[in-house]
Amino acid sequence: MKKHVLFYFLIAICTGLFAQNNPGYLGKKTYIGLSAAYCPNIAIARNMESNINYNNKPTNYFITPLIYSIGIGRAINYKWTIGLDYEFQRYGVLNEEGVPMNWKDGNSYENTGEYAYARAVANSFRLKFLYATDIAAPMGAYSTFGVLFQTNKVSAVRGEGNGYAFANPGGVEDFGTHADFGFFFGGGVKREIYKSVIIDLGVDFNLYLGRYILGAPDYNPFEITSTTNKDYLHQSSAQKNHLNSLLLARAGIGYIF
Amino acid sequence: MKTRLLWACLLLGLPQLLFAQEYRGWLTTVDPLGTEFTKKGKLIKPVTFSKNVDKNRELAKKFSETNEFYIDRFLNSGVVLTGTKANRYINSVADKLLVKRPALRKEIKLYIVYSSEVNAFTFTNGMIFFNIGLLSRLENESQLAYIMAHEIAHYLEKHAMERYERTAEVEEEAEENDEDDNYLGVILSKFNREQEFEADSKGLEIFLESGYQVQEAISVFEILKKADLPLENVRIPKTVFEGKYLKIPDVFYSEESIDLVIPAEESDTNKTHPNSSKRQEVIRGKVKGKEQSGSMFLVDKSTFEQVREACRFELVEVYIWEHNFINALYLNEILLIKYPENPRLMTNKIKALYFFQTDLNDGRRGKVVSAPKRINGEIRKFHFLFKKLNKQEYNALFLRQGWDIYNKMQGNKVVKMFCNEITRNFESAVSKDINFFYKLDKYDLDLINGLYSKEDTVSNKKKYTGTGTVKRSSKKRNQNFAMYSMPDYLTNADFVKTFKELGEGIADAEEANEENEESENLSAAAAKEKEAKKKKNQKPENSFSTDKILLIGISSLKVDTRSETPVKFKEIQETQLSLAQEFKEIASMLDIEVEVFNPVALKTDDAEKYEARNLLDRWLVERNSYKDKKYFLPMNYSAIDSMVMSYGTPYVAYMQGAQLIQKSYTAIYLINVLIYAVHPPIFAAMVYGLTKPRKESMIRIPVYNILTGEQVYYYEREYDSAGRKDYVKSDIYNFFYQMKREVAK
Repeated sequence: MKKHVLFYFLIAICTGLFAQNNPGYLGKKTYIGLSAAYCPNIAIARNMESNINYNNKPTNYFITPLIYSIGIGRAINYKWTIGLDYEFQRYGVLNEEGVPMNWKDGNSYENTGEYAYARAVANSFRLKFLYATDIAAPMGAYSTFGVLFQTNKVSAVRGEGNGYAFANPGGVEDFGTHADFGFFFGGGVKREIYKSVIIDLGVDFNLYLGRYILGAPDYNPFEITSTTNKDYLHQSSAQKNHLNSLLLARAGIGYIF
Repeated sequence: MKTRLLWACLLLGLPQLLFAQEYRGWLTTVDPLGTEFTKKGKLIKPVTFSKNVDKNRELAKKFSETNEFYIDRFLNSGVVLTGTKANRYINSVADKLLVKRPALRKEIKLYIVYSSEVNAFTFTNGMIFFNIGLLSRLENESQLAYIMAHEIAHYLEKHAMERYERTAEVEEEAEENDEDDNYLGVILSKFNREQEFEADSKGLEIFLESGYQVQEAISVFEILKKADLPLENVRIPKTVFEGKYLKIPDVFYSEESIDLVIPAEESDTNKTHPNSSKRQEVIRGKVKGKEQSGSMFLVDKSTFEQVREACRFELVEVYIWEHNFINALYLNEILLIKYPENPRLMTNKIKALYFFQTDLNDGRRGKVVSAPKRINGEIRKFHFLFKKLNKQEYNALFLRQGWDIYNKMQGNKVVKMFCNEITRNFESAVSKDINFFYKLDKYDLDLINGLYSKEDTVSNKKKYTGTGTVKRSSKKRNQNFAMYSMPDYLTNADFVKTFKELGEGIADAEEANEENEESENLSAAAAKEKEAKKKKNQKPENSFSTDKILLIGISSLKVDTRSETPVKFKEIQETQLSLAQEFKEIASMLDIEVEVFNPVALKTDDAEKYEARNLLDRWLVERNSYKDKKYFLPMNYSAIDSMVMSYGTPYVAYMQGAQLIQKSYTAIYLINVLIYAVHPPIFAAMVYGLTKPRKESMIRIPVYNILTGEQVYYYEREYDSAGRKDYVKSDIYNFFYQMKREVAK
């Protein structure tokens, strides 16, 4: 908490220093906003669920988890805005162990193994810089880049079964938290729709570096529990999250003052 | 008691007499403004053209829009005088002229235009304009009435509409037959000439109804024949350019008289107006036998003469404003013969000298001095003099004249300012060293004359037909009369002090400029010293802040090349009005007060504001003609100064905005589409791009200090979009914000 307070304090000082020669948009230099982002790439989005039905096979494969955020930004000069966003998202990952065939009575086989539904809750902070390409900062079209820091709290339900039949689900287990970080770039546009109310539409490309710390999901077909152990769950969650967030379309509403 | 009363009458009457002699009050707006200034969009009544209904409905719409726009723009251009005492007089003449046509009289509105051109013209809605150049030359009221009748005939016959319709037809024909512009010119000028004859004839009918003297309808053409010649051919002695110790050698100024010869009129084939002689003959034929009927004056002879005299005084200033300095000086000298030592004329003389000197020193010689052999009459001597004098000589002449005028008009702030500027010009162009001038015990005229002789080689005689040329003595080539021109001023404390102070200022400024170029290599100590020097050289700061500024004009051009009527006249006017409001509102956010002069609709009792706006608009034209100069002394300094005091700010801004919308570059987009066809989202964006027109817009807002002419701030932005209100609003805010900071620095 102390770190966060110090961080905000530093940003406030920086913006104060730079803001002296800053007209803003009609004198308005600060904005606050709420937004939601989603991954428009369906191919990536499938297999991810925000709410897992632990007793039945999830049918809503195409549900795309939304990323909610609240942000604040301040124009530091005619062109540049510095902003800080807090984001929250939940996403789910279905992991099945990979022993494909267990022969059953010589004629048929059953595809049984261990499975784990992992659910992660991610909290992120983005420090972003926006460059106004038409009107004065913080309004108008902009290009943006910045860094993000994320914590992912992973929990899972483990059991035996296969992709079609789920049996013996256990309780929700807490698998701890992993940190992730990365950088992003993108663009968008903020327009005034009514007096000081603005809409913000944009696209972000997020590149996480966490995989270089956590490693890639290491699946070993000869180890029966390889898909349900702690490391694998964290790794696979991170991988899904990286893919999910690679390209995000964002829409939000805000207030400028 | 009687003596006391007499003294009181004299004391009360003297200033009025002096004021009357300056004729200032005649061309100042005193009456309430008409609806044409107070209501927008109602200048033109709906019009219909005669032929082809569908096509002409479109043509009529175009005609109304363009006329509405251009008339409004002209009325607000700063050159139209309305509601003055002179306007009242012209209106009285119209009352007499149209006494039998009261309904028509109501439709006619009369204005005076700040232009030296000998011309009058009419708009399609019954507005008639008389140039000051014409009013200065008319000999009597009947001549004015005839010209008015001619213009009224243009209005009655709807010549402007006919011309518009005919132009559209001829353009279409030319396009079909692949004809060039010359074809258009010939056809249309013939058409115009026919209209002129028609207006002469119809105008004569109106004129004959009025009771004005018929003969003057013929004699007015004599004035038109002499339109390009000086107002009068008066012999001006060279002493008007001399001083106690400045004598113009005879070789520069011929003593022989030069007659004014009316040149033979050229063919009028490509001209819009027929030859005046042809028109005169037609009229002469029509009024044969009735020439002497009617009265020369139906309103008042004395008022006519006063108006004409006021116009002549004003014409000197118009000439200066138009950079026609020789004409200004010549007319001023003619008036000075009649009104010796008249303060307004003396001030105009020093102004003309200053601006003339500025133009000559800046190399704009061609614009101010014509080829003398082409000039008719005594004025040729003026042209010859300034063509032959070299830089040192004419600068000495201006300096001497400037200081002589100042000494005659001690205490006149404006004269002193112009005198100082002439001195500054001299020092910048010739010498900052006061020792440039010889100290003389005795002025030797023979020595001066001995420095020059007349060139009489065959080639030069040919080159300067009728004027000869000047040969400078080879032994004393580096000497000229400039060095002998100011010996008496070398003991004048005021001159010596001014000359030295201005010279030091120029030297310091030059040094500062040189140092600027080498500033990268300066040590810290040297930089400090330079900064200190810079501060010393800085002009004294005025006490004004940018909390209040004047907005002279808002120009907002919109062109959409996709449309059949690319220039969006209506939208331009609407944008101007809304922008004026936005400027005010946004400025108030920053606690800046904006006085918008143009193009906001005025109120009836805004005569003073209208005058101020005219002054500012003319100032802007003047400023733009000296674009390369950092500082610039306005011609109407005293009026500008009192305006600054009255509005409480010397800062004026002028907004220029433009929007251009074109078809998209389909070919380029197609290539992009092919390239990105493999990528669905970008492909979609490209397809969308195909449908989008190409838009560009820009906004420029220079801010000037009208007292010094200095551009104190300049704002400029360009966009790849058009008509975005939020962009413009943001720009206006940024402009005010930055300007306030920059000017405060």
